[in-house]
Amino acid sequence: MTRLHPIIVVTVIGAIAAFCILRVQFSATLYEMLPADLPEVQGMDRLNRYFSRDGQLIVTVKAEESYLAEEALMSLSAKMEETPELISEVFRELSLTELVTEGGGLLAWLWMNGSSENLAELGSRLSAEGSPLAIGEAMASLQSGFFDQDVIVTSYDPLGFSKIGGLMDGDAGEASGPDPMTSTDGTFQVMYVEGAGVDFSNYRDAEVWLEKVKAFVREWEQEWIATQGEEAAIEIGLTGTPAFMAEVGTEMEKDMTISVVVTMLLISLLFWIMHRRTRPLSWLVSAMLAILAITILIGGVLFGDLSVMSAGFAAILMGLAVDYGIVLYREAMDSGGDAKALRRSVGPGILWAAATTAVVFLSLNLSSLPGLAEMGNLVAMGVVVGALVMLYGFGPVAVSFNRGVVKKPAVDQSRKDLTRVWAGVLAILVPLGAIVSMAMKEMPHLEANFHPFRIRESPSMVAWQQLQSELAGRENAVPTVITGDSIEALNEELDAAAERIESAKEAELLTQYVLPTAFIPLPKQQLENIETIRSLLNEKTRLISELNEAGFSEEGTRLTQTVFDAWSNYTDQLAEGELVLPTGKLAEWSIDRLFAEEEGVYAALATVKPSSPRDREWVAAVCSPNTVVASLGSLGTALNERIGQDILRVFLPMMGLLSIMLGVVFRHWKDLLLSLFSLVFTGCIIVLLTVWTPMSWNSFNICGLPLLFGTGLDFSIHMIFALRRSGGDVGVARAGIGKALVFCGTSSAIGFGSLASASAYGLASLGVVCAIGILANMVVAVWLLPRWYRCLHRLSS
Amino acid sequence: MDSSGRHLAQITFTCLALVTFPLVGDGADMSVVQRWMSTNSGVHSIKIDFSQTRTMTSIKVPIRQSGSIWLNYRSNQFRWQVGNPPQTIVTKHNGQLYIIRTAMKKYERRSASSGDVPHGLMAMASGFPRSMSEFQRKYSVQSIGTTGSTYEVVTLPKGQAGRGVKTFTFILGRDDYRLRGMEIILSDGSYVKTAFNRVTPNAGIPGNLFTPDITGFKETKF
Repeated sequence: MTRLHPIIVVTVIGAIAAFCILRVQFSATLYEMLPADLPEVQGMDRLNRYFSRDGQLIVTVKAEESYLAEEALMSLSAKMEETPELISEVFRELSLTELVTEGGGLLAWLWMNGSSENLAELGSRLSAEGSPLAIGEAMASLQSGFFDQDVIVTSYDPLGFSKIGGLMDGDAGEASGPDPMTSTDGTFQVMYVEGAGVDFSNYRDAEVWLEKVKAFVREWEQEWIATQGEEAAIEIGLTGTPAFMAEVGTEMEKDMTISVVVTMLLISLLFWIMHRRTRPLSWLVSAMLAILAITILIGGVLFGDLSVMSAGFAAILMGLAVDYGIVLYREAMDSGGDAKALRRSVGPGILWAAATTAVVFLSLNLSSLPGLAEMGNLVAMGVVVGALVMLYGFGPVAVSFNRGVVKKPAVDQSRKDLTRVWAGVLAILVPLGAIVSMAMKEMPHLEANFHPFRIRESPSMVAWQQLQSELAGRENAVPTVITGDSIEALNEELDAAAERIESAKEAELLTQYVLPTAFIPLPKQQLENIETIRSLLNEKTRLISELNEAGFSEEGTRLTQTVFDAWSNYTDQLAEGELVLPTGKLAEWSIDRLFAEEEGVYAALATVKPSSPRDREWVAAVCSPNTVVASLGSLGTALNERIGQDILRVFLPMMGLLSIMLGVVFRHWKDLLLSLFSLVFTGCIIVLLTVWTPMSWNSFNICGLPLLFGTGLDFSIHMIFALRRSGGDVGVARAGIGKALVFCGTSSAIGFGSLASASAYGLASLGVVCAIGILANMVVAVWLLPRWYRCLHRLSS
Repeated sequence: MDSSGRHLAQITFTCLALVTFPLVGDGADMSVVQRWMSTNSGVHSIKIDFSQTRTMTSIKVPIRQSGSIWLNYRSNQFRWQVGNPPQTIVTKHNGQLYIIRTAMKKYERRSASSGDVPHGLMAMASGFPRSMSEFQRKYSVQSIGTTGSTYEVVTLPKGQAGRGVKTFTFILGRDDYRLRGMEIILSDGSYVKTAFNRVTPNAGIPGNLFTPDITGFKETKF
């Protein structure tokens, strides 16, 4: 078998592994990797479930002048409407004429769904006595010489259907009337585009669709510049669910592919530097690819879609699994026996090492982050698969390649290194430096504004942030989702939420809020109002006639006409016992954003503005099991709180338990002390890096601490036992276990380090911290610990 | 209209139709505007008698009114009124805009800097542009043409003032480059044409003209 050409072996197994990777489905739903019991995470989940549309893209336009933005948006929307195979619907700000046509249905519904007192007032205004007065006032307003927005509204709505009270309950201040689609100066405008032709729940399909849209927009931009000139240049942004999904999904695929390829190449280079042989290297690489393929297949069956954090498991697994191959290869070189003998000699050690590593990674299940737990489970499963594949697959190959190889004598590396002098100095200086640095500068702490699912260099996120800052009233506004299992329950929950929110406002925890009370259907209220509406319907002909006589044109009476038409339809629906929802494009647009029904659960969307978005006091004041907030601001704080608890709950007891186990293993206090000091020393190096370099801690990379603790202990145990066996001979220990530790440490660091370029900020920071920590562990174990061992055991040179 | 009503009105009506118009930009003969601006030198106050025609798509017949404007550049005050006796008075002083309906004995106060200032009135409330830099800061020129004895400087107000406005045209005399009137076309097709019948520079303006007596008037939201 070993006579097969290396390229054939790597190609065949690589193709199988690539096929398996391509079959992996990533979940682009980022909040699924966060603790599900946090109200902020529940808020994101419910916001996504009830109020987000998979295929709805938000197109933003930014121009120097408002008229350019308007014109560009109109031109682009008109062109998009001509491509039904790509875009099924475009919703942009409606023209006044369109609003008059479309707004009547919504206004009619709001009156019918509103309070009986308000409707009675309207009835009085529309009565035979009231209407001449209302029309007269409207005409006086038009003749006043004014020409402002109110006058224009009045000219289309002389009977005042738009003068409806209590529309948006709350204390929104200036936020009550911001334009949801245009910035205050008009230079930034948005439109909503409903995609067509693909399944938007699949991010790969969404990516293909998004690329088509981008190409379409580029082509339109070229036409725009060609007709309008360079001075009319505009900036187009694409954001919303399909853009996020496509970006996150493809970035995860890219992360996994790049990190696996980089890890493979670097590990191969490392192997070649140490052994200068290509044929065994090709089998080693093939074994690693096989491990990856098997793990992905099993993982796919067990876990389904993988999260953004799990994208990093493959590289970590490569870095760990290769160690077993190296152990087998070196043992085959040294012993020269057959495969069975090889398995007998190093098999138990490899299996125990795999089991220990698996347990360390499984311990990530104790973390509150499901995404991290999933990654831990995949790596744990992978190392077990790796141990078996290496023992039964690569082991025989390693034996066959090492038959007849002459073993080179070990070179004593102990005499030429500087650690003999510096080990003692560093043992004092590094901890001292760490303490002084913390005292002088700052204690290591978790980033307060860490957003775990921040994707680096995300155009859709940039467009989204621009939208939030440009549109008035959007900054720091937190969507708040209220749910109930019936409309009645939803209205009760909404009332309860309103009380809590008002109390929070009084306590100055919130600055503003908007409740969608008027937009939630109230079947009882609608039935109560039906008779009044019917009586108003009888006045329609008279009112239209009065408006005509007063001088209003057909356009001036159109809104009145559509309101009465809508009432007529609604009363018919009510009579048939249906739940009446408003009709018309504007109505659907408004209601869909504030009220939803999904699988028997009814949901309403409110908005609150916290005084201090990162605090959690307001979250506790507002939230209940049926009222949750999709707050990114407080999520970072919540995660930090939760991870802090995890560290105390999981990590400290784990450290205590492992220390006891170490005592049992070593049965010598000096060796136990050395092992623990090595860990402390590595910790001090990390502290120094945290204080003096841009490296920082967040709620994701802090979970790498148990991994670093595990590898640190592992390395120190190996080295101390080697030193015991050699009677404290540093040269012998380094030539044997030292070389193996260098390879293992470097390969693991390569695996983690390859994640540094990952798109997910949390994953990248975890990779960096673990790579640095493992390298530090390796350096301490191979170069410093032997010298400390000799010093503590008072061995002479 | 209360704030909630205004909110709905905004949802329903503020988004005026999107329009297209030719770009002129750098090709326009800005010397016309330059000359107009130069007529402002030495003018500290002004009184303009005007007639106005408003044509709205929702009304069958146009509405015609006449009135006057007084502007005091030194004290940054202005008064606008239509009808004789005045039916509607708008004054600006102390950063506030007062809209007074005399027949109804009602008035409304608005911030003079807010977006609620009516189209056209914004130009008057802040005074017509008096320098080239001020003009270019507030308006972008779409075209400059001639009609009979006048120049038509077709512009778009920049920023918020331009929302819902299709064109804002200054009409200047070809002989003296003085402002003769203006025409505002809104996106829904409605338009208002204001002709300046008599312009009196440095007119004597009584001190109390900008602070009309509103005793007994009720404050409201029109």
